[in-house]
Amino acid sequence: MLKRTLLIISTVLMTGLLLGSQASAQSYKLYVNLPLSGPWSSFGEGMFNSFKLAIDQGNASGVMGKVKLEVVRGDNAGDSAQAASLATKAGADSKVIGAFCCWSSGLALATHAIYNRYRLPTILGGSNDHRSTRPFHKSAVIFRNSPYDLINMKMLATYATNYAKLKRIFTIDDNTAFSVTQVNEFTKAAVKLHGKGRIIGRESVQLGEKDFTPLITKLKTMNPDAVFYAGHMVEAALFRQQMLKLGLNVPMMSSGGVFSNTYIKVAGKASEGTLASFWGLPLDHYPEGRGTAFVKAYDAAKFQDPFESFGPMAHAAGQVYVQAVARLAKAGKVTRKALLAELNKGQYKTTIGDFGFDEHGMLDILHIGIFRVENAKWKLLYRTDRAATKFQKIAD
Amino acid sequence: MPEVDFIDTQVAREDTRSLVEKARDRLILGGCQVALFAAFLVGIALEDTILVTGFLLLLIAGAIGWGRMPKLNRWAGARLAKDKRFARLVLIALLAVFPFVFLDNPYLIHLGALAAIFAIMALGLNITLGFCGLLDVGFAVYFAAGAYMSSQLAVMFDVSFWIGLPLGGLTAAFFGFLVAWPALRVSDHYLALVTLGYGLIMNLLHRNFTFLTHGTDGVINIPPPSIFGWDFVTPIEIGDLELPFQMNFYFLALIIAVLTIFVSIRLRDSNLGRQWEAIREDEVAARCFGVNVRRLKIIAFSTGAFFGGIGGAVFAHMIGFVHPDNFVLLTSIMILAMVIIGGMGNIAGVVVGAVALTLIPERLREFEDLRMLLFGGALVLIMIYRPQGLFPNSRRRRELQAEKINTLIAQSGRDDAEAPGLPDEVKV
Amino acid sequence: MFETWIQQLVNGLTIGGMYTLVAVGFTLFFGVLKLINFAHGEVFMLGGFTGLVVAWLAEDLGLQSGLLIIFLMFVISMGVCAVIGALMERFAYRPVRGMPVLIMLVTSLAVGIVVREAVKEFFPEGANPHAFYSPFKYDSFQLGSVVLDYTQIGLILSSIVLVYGVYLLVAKTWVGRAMRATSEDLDAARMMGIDVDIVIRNTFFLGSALGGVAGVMNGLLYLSIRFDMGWVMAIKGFTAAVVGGLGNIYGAMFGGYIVAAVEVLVVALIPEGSRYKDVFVFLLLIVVLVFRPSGLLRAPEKKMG
Repeated sequence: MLKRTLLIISTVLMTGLLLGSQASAQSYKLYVNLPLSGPWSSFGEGMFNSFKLAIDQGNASGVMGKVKLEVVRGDNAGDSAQAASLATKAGADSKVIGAFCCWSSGLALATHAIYNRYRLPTILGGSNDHRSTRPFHKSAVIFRNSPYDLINMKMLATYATNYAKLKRIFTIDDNTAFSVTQVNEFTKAAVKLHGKGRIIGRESVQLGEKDFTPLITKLKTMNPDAVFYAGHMVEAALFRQQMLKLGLNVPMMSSGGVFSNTYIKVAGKASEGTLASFWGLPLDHYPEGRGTAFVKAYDAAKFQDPFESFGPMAHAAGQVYVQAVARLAKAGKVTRKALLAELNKGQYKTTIGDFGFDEHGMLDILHIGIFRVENAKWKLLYRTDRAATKFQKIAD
Repeated sequence: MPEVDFIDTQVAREDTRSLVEKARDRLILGGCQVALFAAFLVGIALEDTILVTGFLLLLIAGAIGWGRMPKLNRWAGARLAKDKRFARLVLIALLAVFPFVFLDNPYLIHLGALAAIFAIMALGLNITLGFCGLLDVGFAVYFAAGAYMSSQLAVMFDVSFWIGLPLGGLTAAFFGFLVAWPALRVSDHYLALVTLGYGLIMNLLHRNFTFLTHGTDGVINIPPPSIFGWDFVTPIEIGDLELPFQMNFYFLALIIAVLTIFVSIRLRDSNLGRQWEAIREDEVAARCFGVNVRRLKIIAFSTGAFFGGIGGAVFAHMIGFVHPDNFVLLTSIMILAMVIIGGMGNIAGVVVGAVALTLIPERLREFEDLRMLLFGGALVLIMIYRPQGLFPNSRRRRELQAEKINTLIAQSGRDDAEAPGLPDEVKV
Repeated sequence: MFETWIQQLVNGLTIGGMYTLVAVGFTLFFGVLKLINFAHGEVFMLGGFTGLVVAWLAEDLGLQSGLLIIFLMFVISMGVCAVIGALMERFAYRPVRGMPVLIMLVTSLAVGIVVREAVKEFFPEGANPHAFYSPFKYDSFQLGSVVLDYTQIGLILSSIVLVYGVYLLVAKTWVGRAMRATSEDLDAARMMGIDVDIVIRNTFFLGSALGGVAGVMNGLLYLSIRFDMGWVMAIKGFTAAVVGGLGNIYGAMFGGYIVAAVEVLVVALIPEGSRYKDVFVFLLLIVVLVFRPSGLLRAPEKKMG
């Protein structure tokens, strides 16, 4: 009996402590829902740090007056079930006024309806699938600060067929939502441009696989003049190495899952010449040196992990929240509803440029480019406009 | 079930307590239950990681202490046995009160519903594994079958959840039937490997049969269940009070879980249950006594799978999203761990295991990567020190201890009589 | 066309060699302990990481000779993996020895989780992929249009040599005789005066050391390693062991090549076959378990009752 009594007493004490510690006014939470553990944690950590950096800068600058923002670290481990569970948790907490989500397309697809259920304003960082924002579904609370795959893939397809003049492209997905949609949209765009002839086939690999030699040997007999590998970086690096080893020396195109310095590190020399279309720009291409300022601030904050390819977008998302909340604080009404209205109409000055969100919640400027690995660095070749029709050449 | 009635009347006849004594006993019992439940509520409401850890450590210490006090144990058991029905009613009442305590924290209600769903599935596996002794390492297959069936019916053909739910269960039962056929020919390790392979294959098919499952996109926008035009995401309002909509799902899952428990108890005590038990104890002997092993094993697989499917259907409609990631091997291991940790064959234990394994990882979310490490480590320790689970059913405990002792004896190379430090229970 | 098939044969032999090295461990453990040691995949992964650490250290010490570094990688990885395997046996499997199948199975899965998560958590940047060291990076040569590299040849040869070595050890030596006796009947072996604990420990030394070799080989061949590579290899490895017959050493090699052949053939012959490659592998697993539970190499057992 003594033990149980002790247990009850101690738990009561704990609750007391707990309630005592939770008494600070004018503080609101932003809920982050990212893969902070599991195989994708390097991306997640980079995004989390960048986002947190923006909020910390906002809190320190005092633009929000008495209001303080707090970042809640939500780890979905890259698993859609856990992401959905976290979204519910964020939505159900009345102190949470905004969310920052996902990194991967699959996770955004899994959670948007839940955020909408709670009318919780959410900014997507990185999730590229067009189906996770309007007008492709009814959820009104989702915003994205990077363009979606329709534009992205149209640009890549146009580049591949019209600029690089590729005639026989083989496509490969890695059986994730992100990758499958990219191949689908790429194929659609290429077919629309030139009819069916340009895409000569499609295969699929599994995440975690290491030996692609049987597949590549088979590809070799089909004589492709380029391979579109729409997957993630680890498998992509192996695939590229094995392509070269088996003498399939044709360009490999890829996209956001591969666009990372880790890819270059893992693939080593083989990464040279890899093409990628990515919804972001090299840091020195952002206006007024804001990109380099971000890098400086990030380094000064001494985070453990690098900010990776999605860092600038995550930082921009944080800045959007800070500026929006600052305006709400002036008006004296910080609620989800007010924040939602503010996001729909406001203009924001961020690391990646000055922008607002259009009627579908997508940012109204465009950062998207075709990159190629040269001397172990991603080099920007082309930029494009919103319809992905006009191309601007940056380098060869 | 004549035998059960007989036992019940026996108990009733033995109860010679006066009304006052009875009331006093019930008051004490109910009081204890309420106190424990309150402690549980405090535990799951804790937010701070250090406090949660402290609470868990207290819990473990409590469990160990409880195990060390056999007298207290027996005393409580006797109390409980006398007023079983009353205790059950109190428990159900407490569970019904649970969401009202957390009106301002709907996430906990959501977790409660999730725990109930996993309890349904763990009870399903308990039928296959606990009652009939058939290893099944691919339970996620049935979870998936139920979830995909009911959600796709709702999304593609606008079929109501109330039709999708039983159909999901039946689909899952069919998948159970499917694996039962090869599974009949093998046992032990081989059975485990067959079901493991089955789980892996089905997960690959979930990813690749896009026309059935939407592949890796997952099924999105699954409508919530509705009754007469009122759907489950609309909060109920009582006067000024708006009850969070998670409560609707919680009660749905709770009712189904209670039904599952009821069915489990009836199955266990039925003729079928006894035959399953006979197969579990000794298949050859059971066959000699005329038990139709083949048929009964198929029934065990299908029945277990059925509840997996029911759980899956509720899960799909509650979360609103179904993805192949939900049905990987780790899910199967989790459900398996719920059953083992709770105590195979013990219905109450399995439910406790399911609740614990749903809530604890959720509460330890801040540990991130370390969480899985802790889970793995805890699982190893439990397997070594308490393989019969936290609440073993009595026969299983004896079996396992006997086996452990046999190996001890064999290792020490001594005779049975000389074996040192045998616990008393084994000599039964 | 002919050359394409020769290339596919080379690919298959490489993949099969890798599976063989892992499968031998599974088959040995099952032989003596009737345990499917799922954590063996993680031992394989640890082998890769140990190799990487050795390469880092060698770089720090300024070792120049590539062959020496590779030699050190293999020796040290084998040692580390053998010790880790034996520790696993001592602290996780011995306490549950003789318990029902399920308990042993779950223990091995849980041990696997612990090892994998520990590497992810405590190895520097453990969650990220790491580029592996190899002096033969990108060195390949061509015979006609068939491409081969030294690592592949090394892998194929070493898998054959090691399997033959293990066979000799088990079939011809006293240690092996004790192992066989233990695998026939643990209790009887004990009564004959064999120290079963030592036999089992030796088996874990041996099997895990081979896992370590496979891990280093994997790193050398694919030039990158990651914490989660063990599980994929584990499921392929035990499939190979089952297909060849659990407990049968040549069977592990046979099974490894059969599994690799299925993979290569499915990819090569079926359009979009890469999608269903593993489905066929696991179907093979189930079919073998159901119809020839003692493996393709042995005569089917008479069905009981």
